[in-house]
Amino acid sequence: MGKKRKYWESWEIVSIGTFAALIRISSFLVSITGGGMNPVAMILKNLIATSLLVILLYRVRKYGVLSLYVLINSIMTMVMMGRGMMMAPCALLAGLIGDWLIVMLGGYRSTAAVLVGVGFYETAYRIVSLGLGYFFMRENINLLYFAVVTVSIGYIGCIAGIFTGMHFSRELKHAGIIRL
Amino acid sequence: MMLQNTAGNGFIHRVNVLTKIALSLVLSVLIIFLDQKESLYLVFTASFVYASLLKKYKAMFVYYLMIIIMFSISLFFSYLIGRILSSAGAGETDLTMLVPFLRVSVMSNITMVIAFSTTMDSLINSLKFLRLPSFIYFPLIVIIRFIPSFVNDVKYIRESLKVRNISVNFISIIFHPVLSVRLLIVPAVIRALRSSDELSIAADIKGIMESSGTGKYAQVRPGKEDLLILVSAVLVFSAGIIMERGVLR
Repeated sequence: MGKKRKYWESWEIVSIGTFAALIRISSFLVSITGGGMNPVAMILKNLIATSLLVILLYRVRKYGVLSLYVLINSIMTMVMMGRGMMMAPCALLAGLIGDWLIVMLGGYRSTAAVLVGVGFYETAYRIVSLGLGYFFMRENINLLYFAVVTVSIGYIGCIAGIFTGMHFSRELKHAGIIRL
Repeated sequence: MMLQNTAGNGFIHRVNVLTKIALSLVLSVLIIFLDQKESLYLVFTASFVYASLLKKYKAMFVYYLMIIIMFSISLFFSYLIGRILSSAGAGETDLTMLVPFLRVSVMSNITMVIAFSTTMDSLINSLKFLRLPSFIYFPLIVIIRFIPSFVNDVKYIRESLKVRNISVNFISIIFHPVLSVRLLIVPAVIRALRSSDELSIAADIKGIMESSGTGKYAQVRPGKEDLLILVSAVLVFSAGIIMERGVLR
């Protein structure tokens, strides 16, 4: 009698964990080196995070990878930093819709589908962040304008990151490090 | 913010990590609904006392300095936007500015306690106690175990760059962002991919994903300290809510 096969294989689970850790460390590293509020560092930080997310999606081509990454990341943020409680359900919903969009538009082998899926997730995540930011800063709405500018600068890096991630994935394929 | 590798033996270090996490999660929701200065002052004072139990006054000072710098920049831009738009409340400098600052400071105090008083082992043990499914538990363990390893990898990368007389710093990030990323991040990604392969092979060999459950190597039991913290938190939260409602009337 064959044992029921698990949906997630160990290498996929490990990859998700590894990339979640790598994204955290890389973003932290760029923020520290670039001096936090510096716009170039803000763009770079988001560019790197999104590029790594795209590489993860190219490496683990399975329905739910984006949602699982978001879930793990949210739990990690809650456990290690004690925040993100309000953000987690919305981020998970954005991840699920992102995964669904990828499948609907041709699956994880389609470049356009991955582009749309990650693009949707990143956009939705930022909109929800700003919505939550409004509740934190509702007494002085001018502070929110500053947050909008900061998030918009990061979003530029995010959009660029989708394309650099695809480029980087192809480079890694040529190097034989990931299978496309 | 990184977790500590070594534990202290003070009061706050003996509080269960799950208690600290539960406290921070409840507070992260509650703090959004509090908008009266009086109730926020109360919660802020309580959180400040809670963070002071760490006895890391220098770290607290640096943390507050960072928050003040961030808020000063925000206030400066807020003032500029207010002047440009000439809206109601433009250039506002009264105490309403203090409310968002208090909210951020409260969460910072709570975060600081989790970061400075939690060890990797206690966190892993607490995650085991939660009995999460393996596809959630296993990546979390990978992250916790791999963050220090990645930090080390980054140190090696920096050292190898130094050997070649290349320095990645604030100036190079501004003037050569692409080069900086190539020098710093690309080797880290390749190293991460290799590590991920090695770890998944090890997980397959040990049959970690096939095991029916995770064993406990230490008991996670609430102690007197947890009870004291939880009772104090309930009292402060209740007082905060009562003050909020009282002020609204």
